[in-house]
Amino acid sequence: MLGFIARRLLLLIPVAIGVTLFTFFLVRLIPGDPAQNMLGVHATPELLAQLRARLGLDRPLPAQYFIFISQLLHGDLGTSYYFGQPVLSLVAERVTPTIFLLAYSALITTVVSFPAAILAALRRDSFWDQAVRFTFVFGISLPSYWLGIVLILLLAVAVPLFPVGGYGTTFLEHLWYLFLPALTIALGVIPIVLRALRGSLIEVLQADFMDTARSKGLPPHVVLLRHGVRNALLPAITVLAVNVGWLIGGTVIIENVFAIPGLGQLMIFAVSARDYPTVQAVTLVFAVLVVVVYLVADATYFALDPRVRGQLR
Amino acid sequence: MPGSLIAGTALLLAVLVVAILGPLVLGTDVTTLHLEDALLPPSSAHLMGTDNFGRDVLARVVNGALVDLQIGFFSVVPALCIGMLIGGLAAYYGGWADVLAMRLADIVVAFPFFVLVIAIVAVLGPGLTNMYIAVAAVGWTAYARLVRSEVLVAKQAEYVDAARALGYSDRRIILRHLVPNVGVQALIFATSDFVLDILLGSSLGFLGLGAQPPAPEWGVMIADGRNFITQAPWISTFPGLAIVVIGIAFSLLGDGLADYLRVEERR
Amino acid sequence: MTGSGVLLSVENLTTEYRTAGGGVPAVQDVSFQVHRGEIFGLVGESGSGKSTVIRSIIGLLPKPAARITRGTVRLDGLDLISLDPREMRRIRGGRVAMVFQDPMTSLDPVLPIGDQIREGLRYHGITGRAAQARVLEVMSLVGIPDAPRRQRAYPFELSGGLRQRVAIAIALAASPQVLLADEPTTALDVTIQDQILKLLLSLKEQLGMSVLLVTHDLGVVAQTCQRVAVMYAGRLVEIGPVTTVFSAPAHPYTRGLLASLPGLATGRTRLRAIPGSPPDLGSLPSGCAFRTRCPIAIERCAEVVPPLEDHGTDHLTACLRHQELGQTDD
Repeated sequence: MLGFIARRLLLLIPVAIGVTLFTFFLVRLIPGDPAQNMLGVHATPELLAQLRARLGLDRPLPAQYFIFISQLLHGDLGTSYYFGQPVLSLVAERVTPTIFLLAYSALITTVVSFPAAILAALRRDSFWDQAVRFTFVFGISLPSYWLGIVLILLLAVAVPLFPVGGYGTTFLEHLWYLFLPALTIALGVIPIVLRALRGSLIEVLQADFMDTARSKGLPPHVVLLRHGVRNALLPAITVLAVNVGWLIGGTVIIENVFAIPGLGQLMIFAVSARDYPTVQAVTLVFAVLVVVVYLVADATYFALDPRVRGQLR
Repeated sequence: MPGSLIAGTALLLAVLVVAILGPLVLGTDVTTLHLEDALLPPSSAHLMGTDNFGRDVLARVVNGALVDLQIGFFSVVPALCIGMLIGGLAAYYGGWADVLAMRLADIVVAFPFFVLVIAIVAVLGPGLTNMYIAVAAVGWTAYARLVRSEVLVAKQAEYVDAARALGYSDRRIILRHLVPNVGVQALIFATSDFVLDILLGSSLGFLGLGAQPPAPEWGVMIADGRNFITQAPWISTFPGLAIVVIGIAFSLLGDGLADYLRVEERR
Repeated sequence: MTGSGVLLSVENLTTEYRTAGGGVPAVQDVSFQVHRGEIFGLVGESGSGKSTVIRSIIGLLPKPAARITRGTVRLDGLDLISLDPREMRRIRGGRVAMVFQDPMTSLDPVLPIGDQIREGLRYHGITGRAAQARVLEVMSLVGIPDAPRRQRAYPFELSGGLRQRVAIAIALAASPQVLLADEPTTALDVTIQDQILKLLLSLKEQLGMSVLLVTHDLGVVAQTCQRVAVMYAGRLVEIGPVTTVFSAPAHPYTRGLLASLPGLATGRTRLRAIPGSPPDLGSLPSGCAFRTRCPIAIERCAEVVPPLEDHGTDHLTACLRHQELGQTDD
């Protein structure tokens, strides 16, 4: 397992270099002079030159990239134009609510998708199955931010079951405050996972080894869970991992709808404040999150499918 | 022909009729303020009520249809063209071109789509044109991968060998033979991509990074109504429903198209 | 063999598939007995209904598409069709077990083979250390070497022949009285086929169990079975001891099958295939289903479904002209 992860990490090096290059050039796309942008139009030439030297802007691009990378490796993500504090500490404050929200949505997605997919696959073409299929078409057409507003209107204003926004302070409060936003994100992802899981379950249910399992005299639920779901899980994990970018993108906008002090809210704020180092850093952190999820998905695949282990041996 | 294809086509035609004829009926002036009519609930005079500036929500929703369809179109088409070109060239020539293109795609895909688009819009500045640039810069990867794998399969096919044997140039083979074969798959994908891009575009409008007020863009309208959500929920509700309708139309169309063409292939 | 030797008795079994156009009978009025300690062959072309027969016996018909509409299946006098699902599960794997056609797909790809052999045991009263001992025992019984280590292997790590041995081990784990084998060698290489058949024969000898072997291959029947039943279009057309049926087939279909078999077509230079193809079960010809392909069909064949009649000792056939056939033995 450790060897497997080490090998995967090695494969990530080119992607990591690419990602940093990309974020590095991202802020170089800004029209005009970064120093001018930072100090405003009334800055004196001396001050500008000073800042340029400090930021390394007077040096050639490869040298600037090298500085960027070495600072990154020292945990220096730059200094926020707006807050005037290290971006790293800003990100550190904001990363927990985002991850909490992501994990919460993934949990809701799982809890809803699995039983629904099993039901739909077992009773193919029944009312349930049609409902599940319709949910897909309907679900991917829902704008998440609008759904969030509707949910606030229904479950926080009309029937005040949940708070209209915020994060809370204790773990239980987090669970309560983040329920609606997590549900909103989950409702966007559930149709995708549901469809993938339904498809792979239908395929697995027709597999010969299911008959073998039945011929042993196993009860139906054992056949279904031990042989059916376990085998259907593998393709579903791939679909879930591929869509994780979508899930993370969802948090950016949903954090803004529900006023959750996470990375997404920080990012949109930084965009409107033209706080480029912060935008750059948050973009990078989100990319890291995606890569971590891919790694976790790979590791799960590794743990669940002996054939993958066999190939690597 | 699958039912979803018929339903999707019918729904899309209905949307197009409303988008084109609606403004003629309800007028195209949807930005003038009528403060005396502000926040009126739905009635026979204003079927969807009025917003906080007294503008008729129905007229704005109907005029918004063309805006959002346009957003979908200008988001999908450049990404589609760039992606097909890069993917096609990468697969056809292979070697370094292929490695370079696919590594680049790997890197872009490592970022969440939405985050990267926002980041690019952030540095270029808010607005629809910059959004189109950002979506093209990020969205080409899916098409490139799709086209690349299709071309790799098609390359083995006999008609390409035959064309080579007849002495046709590589460029001619790509244009005359591969593009029509590969294009079908890309078209199916583009249909479902259209939904995602409309969602993305309206999301950016909602966040103030896409279309700018007072444009009758649905995301912008939802953002406008957000502050009045308890007093006048209709301001945000109807544009949201409009997005759902257009989304369902394209989803059904994409699903049906995929089913239809897959069945055709099997025959 | 006498009536007390009967272990599995199938009487008038009729199984239908529901389709858009109504019920299609896949098996019609099939009766036969499998004796203790014998290998009974059920032969027919694909689509003749032979797999449906064994799936009916073990209760693994595709639901809700297929349904037994008539008949009984008795195991030692116990009617299996009338059992409720819970009781049937105790029979399945415990007293009647099944081996499937393709060992590449019949084993769960993500579980170690030891687990797959073991998991049924607890539902048949074998748990803990006894179950583990049984896994190793049954693995060596089917000839899987190095069982303590191999039990942790996954199906993808094994060859086709070994996988089929695993499938047989799974079936044997709870010591069933009857083994239903659905084309157990069809998906295997010729040399491996031979090994698996020899294994079935030796298992029958060692364990004294009965085997119902379904196959389309008369060579397999000749090599392993004591008695054989021939199926055509959902009905049995001939039953008898293998030696009798092979030397003096009493149904034109059986004759056609034997004539098209290279190893058994003695004295002939050309193989004779039966003209035409099996009929569609949804629109069977009237009377005898074989008459449209039959070289000796007469008008009356279209009027009645020929019943199974005695043609000699333990030998039954469903042909109106069987007496003439018996005399013209070529």
